[in-house]
Amino acid sequence: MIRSSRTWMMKLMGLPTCEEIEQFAYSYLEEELQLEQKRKFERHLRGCRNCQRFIHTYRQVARPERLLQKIPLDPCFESRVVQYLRENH
Amino acid sequence: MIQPLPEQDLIQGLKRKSTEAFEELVAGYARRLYYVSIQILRNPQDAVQETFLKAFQTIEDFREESSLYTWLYRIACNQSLMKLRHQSQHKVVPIEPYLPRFEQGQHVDPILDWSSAPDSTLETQELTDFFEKCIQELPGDYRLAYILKDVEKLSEDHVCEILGVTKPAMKNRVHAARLVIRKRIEEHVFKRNTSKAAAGGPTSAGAVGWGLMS
Ligand SMILES: [Zn+2]
Repeated sequence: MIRSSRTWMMKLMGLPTCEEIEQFAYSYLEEELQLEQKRKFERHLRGCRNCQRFIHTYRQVARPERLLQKIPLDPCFESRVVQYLRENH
Repeated sequence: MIQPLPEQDLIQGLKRKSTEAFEELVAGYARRLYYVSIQILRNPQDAVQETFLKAFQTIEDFREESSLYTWLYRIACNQSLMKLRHQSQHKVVPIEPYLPRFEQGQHVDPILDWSSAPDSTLETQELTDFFEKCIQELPGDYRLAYILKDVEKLSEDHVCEILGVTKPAMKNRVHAARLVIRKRIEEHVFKRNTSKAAAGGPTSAGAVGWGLMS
């Protein structure tokens, strides 16, 4: 009941619910939200720890540079591919 | 430095089976295709080689309705996925169990912030490995969409072109893939910290607070 009253309050303030935060997360990150939508989205975030954590980690997955390292590639890779093509066509 | 050929000339050269044109194609695209394929396969060298062989054999069929780059990407993705399907140990994790659950608009499960969780080099490596595993275990359509959009950072239009899907469909796949990876890492970090706490070791507790249900 406490939970739903929270949703009710967000609704009353014209703010998105947590579920809508998830639905709009892609658009938010890609800067596709209109200014007013974005403002409401961020007002919800300021008042909701769960959604702050959600967006924070969602962004990490969407921008994986920190976690995914590019494996260095053998400098002769291209010549080996060319060699392979010569032998196989 | 030799100036690379304009794409049109390169395509014409390829259709004439010119060796120089093929060498230029490999020089221009091998690395990019390697990095796409490595997200799909552990060892992508064969897949990349076969991509070029296939390109070489089927260049006459290339009708230039897309860019050369898009055409090659598509072949590389298909070759890699085909190889992956033949690897018997390959596991695919379903999407649904990892999508967030809501009740009356609110999260049912508390959200864990693992964003600063790795607190040592060893843990960072371990998390990187797990991240890669999560990508590889996504269902094929979701995996490709995620790799092209978020790892390769291609434009939305370009991803749609390669996948042959509409923009809303592409966005749905990328979003779902992000949700699944996010949730799986959350569970992974939580499990790791719980077992460390049980063993009496230090945990990244400071970095991973559970959300207070409000
Ligand atoms: Zn919320």
